[in-house]
Amino acid sequence: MTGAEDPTEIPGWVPATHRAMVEAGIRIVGYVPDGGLKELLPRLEAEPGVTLVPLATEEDGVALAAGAWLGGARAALLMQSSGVGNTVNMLSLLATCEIPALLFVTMRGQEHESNPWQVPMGRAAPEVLDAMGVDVRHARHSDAVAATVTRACADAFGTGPATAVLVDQDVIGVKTFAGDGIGDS
Amino acid sequence: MNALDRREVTAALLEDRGDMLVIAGLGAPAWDVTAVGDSHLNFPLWGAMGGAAALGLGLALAQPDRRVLVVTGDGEQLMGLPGLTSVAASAPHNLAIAVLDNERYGETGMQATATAHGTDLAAVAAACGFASSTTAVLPDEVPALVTALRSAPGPVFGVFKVTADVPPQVVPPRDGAHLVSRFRAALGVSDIPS
Repeated sequence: MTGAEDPTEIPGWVPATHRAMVEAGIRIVGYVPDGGLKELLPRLEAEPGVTLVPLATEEDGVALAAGAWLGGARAALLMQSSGVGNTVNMLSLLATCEIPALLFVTMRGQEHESNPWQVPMGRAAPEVLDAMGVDVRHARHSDAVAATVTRACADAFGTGPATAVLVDQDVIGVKTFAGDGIGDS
Repeated sequence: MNALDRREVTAALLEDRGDMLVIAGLGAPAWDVTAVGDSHLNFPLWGAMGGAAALGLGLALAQPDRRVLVVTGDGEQLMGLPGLTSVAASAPHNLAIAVLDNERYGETGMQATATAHGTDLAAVAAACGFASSTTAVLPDEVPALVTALRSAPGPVFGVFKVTADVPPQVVPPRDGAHLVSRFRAALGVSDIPS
């Protein structure tokens, strides 16, 4: 429940991950929002050397990253685990053309999930990415996120292939809904 | 009946192209662009259907001093409609998208696309917020639209209503890693000499 108790508190992984992405040379960031990204996105938007691109669907973020790489820029795609399902065929672009990119995925559908509709894609996301040739890393604790991003970028842009960092739901905090009785005081 | 010749339109789009960067959507547009002449500054797609516009957006943002032209087909653009919202929202001044609209899926048996049933791609792009969006139906409407796609402030969207004729295939290299490497080398953004 890190960061979930006080909505005004910025979780510690956020500024560190922001710095890690900037220091890795990420210049173009496509995103479909997720609750787990709500503190990170405005920080990246305020970063002078970074261009944020709002996406209607995550597959466009894969193509966006490929275009950025063609033009000499490093790009990242930020999305929720459900969005991984929308990227599948477009990931063949990265595999076939050996294009590196950072995929930063905030997880749903893991332990303590309160919305059953999130579970199938959350369970499948790592295998789907792996099946499409994306290297999968997990950040299971708040203090591991930034270091995992740094290593993922070094490997993706150094040797390839495109690399995904999956941030565990426990890091983000579990979303609750009216009537859940979860998180009520 | 559509009247424009896809190869003539493509030749006009690429005439004296200078240092313009060109993305070609899969299928006939990739053959059309290659028929004008293979270039290291072409990136023809053999897959990734629906991604041409977003790919052009990434390239345009990375290379703001270069004109970027996406040449694609109606089927490819229909699959990539969400990407038009991202292009419009980012409003790259140097990006143009040309759709060669034959109202058919040409690679799979010439089945009708939605544009054969009334979907107006230029109207879609305009509604998404493109700075300029036009359809050329008659030959005398082609030059002005070509000029807009080549030089008007972007993002520019243009639809050419081309015939369903199938000219001979002229295929580009199909090794994706090679296409990327030669493009980046020609652009001077890799450590491989051009």
